Amino acid sequence: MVKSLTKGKVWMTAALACAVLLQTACGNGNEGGTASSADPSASATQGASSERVNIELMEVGWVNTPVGDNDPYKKWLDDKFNVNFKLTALPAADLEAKILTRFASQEPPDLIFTYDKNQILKLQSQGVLMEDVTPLLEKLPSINGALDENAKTFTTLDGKMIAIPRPPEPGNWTVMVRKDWLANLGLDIPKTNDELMNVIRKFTTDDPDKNGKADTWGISSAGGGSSLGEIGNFQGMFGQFYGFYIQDNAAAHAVTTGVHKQFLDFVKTLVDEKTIDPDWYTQGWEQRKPKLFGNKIGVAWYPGSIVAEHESLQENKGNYVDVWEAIPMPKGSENGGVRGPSGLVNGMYAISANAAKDPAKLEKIAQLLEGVSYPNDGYWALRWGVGPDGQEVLDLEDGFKFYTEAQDKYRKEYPGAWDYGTWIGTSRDKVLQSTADEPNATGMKQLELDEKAKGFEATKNYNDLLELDPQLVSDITKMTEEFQIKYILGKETDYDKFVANWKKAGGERLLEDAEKQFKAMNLIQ
Amino acid sequence: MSNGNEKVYQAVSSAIVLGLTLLSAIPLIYVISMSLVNEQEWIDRGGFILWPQNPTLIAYERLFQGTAVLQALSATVVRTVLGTALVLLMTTLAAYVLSKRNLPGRKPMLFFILVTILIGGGLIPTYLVVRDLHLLDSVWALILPGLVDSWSVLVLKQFFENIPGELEESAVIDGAGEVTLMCKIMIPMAAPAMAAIGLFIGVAHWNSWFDALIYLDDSKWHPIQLLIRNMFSSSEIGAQFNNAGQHNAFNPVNRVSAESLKMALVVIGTLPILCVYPFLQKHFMKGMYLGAVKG
Repeated sequence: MVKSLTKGKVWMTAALACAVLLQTACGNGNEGGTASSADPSASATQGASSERVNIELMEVGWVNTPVGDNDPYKKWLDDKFNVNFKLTALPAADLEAKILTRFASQEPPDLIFTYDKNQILKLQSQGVLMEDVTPLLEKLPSINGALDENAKTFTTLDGKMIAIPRPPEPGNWTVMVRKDWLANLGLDIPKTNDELMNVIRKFTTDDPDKNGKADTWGISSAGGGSSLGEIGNFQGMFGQFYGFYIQDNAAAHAVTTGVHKQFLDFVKTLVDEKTIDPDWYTQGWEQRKPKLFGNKIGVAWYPGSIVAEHESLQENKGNYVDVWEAIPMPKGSENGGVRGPSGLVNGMYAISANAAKDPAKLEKIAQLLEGVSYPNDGYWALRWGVGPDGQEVLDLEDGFKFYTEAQDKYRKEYPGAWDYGTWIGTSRDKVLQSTADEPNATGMKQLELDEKAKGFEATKNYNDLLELDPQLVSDITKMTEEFQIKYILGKETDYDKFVANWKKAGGERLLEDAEKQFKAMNLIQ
Repeated sequence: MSNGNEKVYQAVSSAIVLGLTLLSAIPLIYVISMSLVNEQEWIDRGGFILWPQNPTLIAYERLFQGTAVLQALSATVVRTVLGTALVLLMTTLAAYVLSKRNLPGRKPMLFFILVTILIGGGLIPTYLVVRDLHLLDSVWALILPGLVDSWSVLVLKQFFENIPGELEESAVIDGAGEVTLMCKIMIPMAAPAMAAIGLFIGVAHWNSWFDALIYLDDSKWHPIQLLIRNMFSSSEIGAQFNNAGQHNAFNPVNRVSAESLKMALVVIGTLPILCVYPFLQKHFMKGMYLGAVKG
């Protein structure tokens, strides 16, 4: 009898536990899918917001960490546009898996922001995106007014715009050189590849920092073990180098024009003469910083933020505000002395077909996009917290502005809130972002270097206008990466053989495709 | 082989193994060391540090200042403990039942469980099932889909089958029912195997991130591995954690590099599960071999 009672208690307890578990499972789950569906039962409990449209944005974020429960940015958006806004920010590597799962399960996000055109093309081929966003552009004057024809062409397929391009950003990366070292050694700003090579040599051998130690290198890179890193931009010394382009009224590529070989010979000389940081190929971007900002490297490819980073790693005493100079790419040939091109667009907005079928939702998306695009109020709110978070953006001279992170408490605690600005951020706002309480010499120098860089000659971007076989492009890119490090290290010497193999592996076919497409676009006569 | 040669052989073998062990340990040492340096030391010593001269916990302090890391850790612990306990329970029940040779329909049941080792539902069908069961944005989306591990069922079933039938018979003669038999005789005897399986399942739960990425939009249940993955892909991690709270100092002694923050995250994501292993080690070693010997 006692045993039966005990047995009964065990079974009763087990049954209760199962019931609790099932209740938790059913009770804690998402009851209605995602915010992309207007849930009538939810609207009944939302009182004054019962007519709010649910809009979900899925984007490649900068930070991708959680925002808090009392999110002032979401609240501001919801109140301003009368929506129920949901932001999902993911790393680029994860966005595709998430998006494809959501589309396949018929619960797509309403709006997608991505930099990867292939993702958009993949979704478009499945018929799950708004077929043609061209009519929407009329409602987006702030975006449309900043777009050029190339940007629109980039997102056009078979005569229809499959995504709304975000206006391109002018490049602010350029060659940065330690001008204090130049002064110490009595050298001038290098204007040619030979002068640059001489400067790099002297930076390595002649103790440019006058500390009595042989502890400097002329130049470095951060290949991360898989590529040449940012030193690849120095191909611009010898001519155009970005993908496939037009030269002498024909399709061309740096491998076939000789630009690539001249560049490899330049780097090979650096390696042979040991004037480049020995870890240049294997180290990552962050791993290189102690050397760059520890006063070991004299030439770098960087934007104006090199000043702020250098200062912050040297206690911000102001000693390194004026040591870097932005210079144009030294010229190594008649067509050389150029920076690579900027992208044709700075990301794209795609709208799901589901959202497009709902006129009220589509109208709201247009209002939202226009309202948060530069230079409207929504831009300053989401990007810099003016409004939602009580932040201020101060006016400086020449149209520049200043924003300090020092008072930004919410985004200090929840850095993921920065991703409200990822999908709209632009350097056209001319805002200097700083950790200092007020504008200082470091910030002004950064602005100066960036503006200088934007004025240096850059090549046109022809490559991004093309639709080339991605497999062939991948094959020849991989082949090039493998060959160039071997060539630089002296393990391969026959460049002509590489060119022949490159053509055979797909380079020739890609050149022909590029030529056809350039002719179709009337870029080649 | 003479004694002298034997000793030389042992010495050389030991030296080689020790060398290989130290080589293998270098990445681990690097991770721990880098997590204990401030920005000043990182700049001064060129970025690759195997032994910090001025060890500091500043990277850990910065990571735990906000709520993201703690929240992710809590979510991972809940998921791992709950998930492991439930998987062990369900797997044990399935294995015990399937170990009974006189069970009607045993072979088809076994087939249906084991075929899932070779064939899975795939990402989209599984997502649809999870969604239709209203499990999205819930910790149960991370636990219920993997509640019965087929491989573990096989191993445990084998264990139960190896237990002498006489033990069972004598327990039945003494008046034990099925539940008593299972709980007081069979499970204690299978404890080594269950410990090993529990460790595998626990580590799998601790390391999982992809299911959280797919099933959870709400970051409340995002596990630490997903947070680590997101933070590693962020170019702003150094700026974020060096500008947090009152530590907005410009002195590199009070700052921490992005590399150190990442290494500290790796330690935070790895250390807890590593600490569990010593407690289960004796069962683990026994469990790996017991099932291999029959009769």
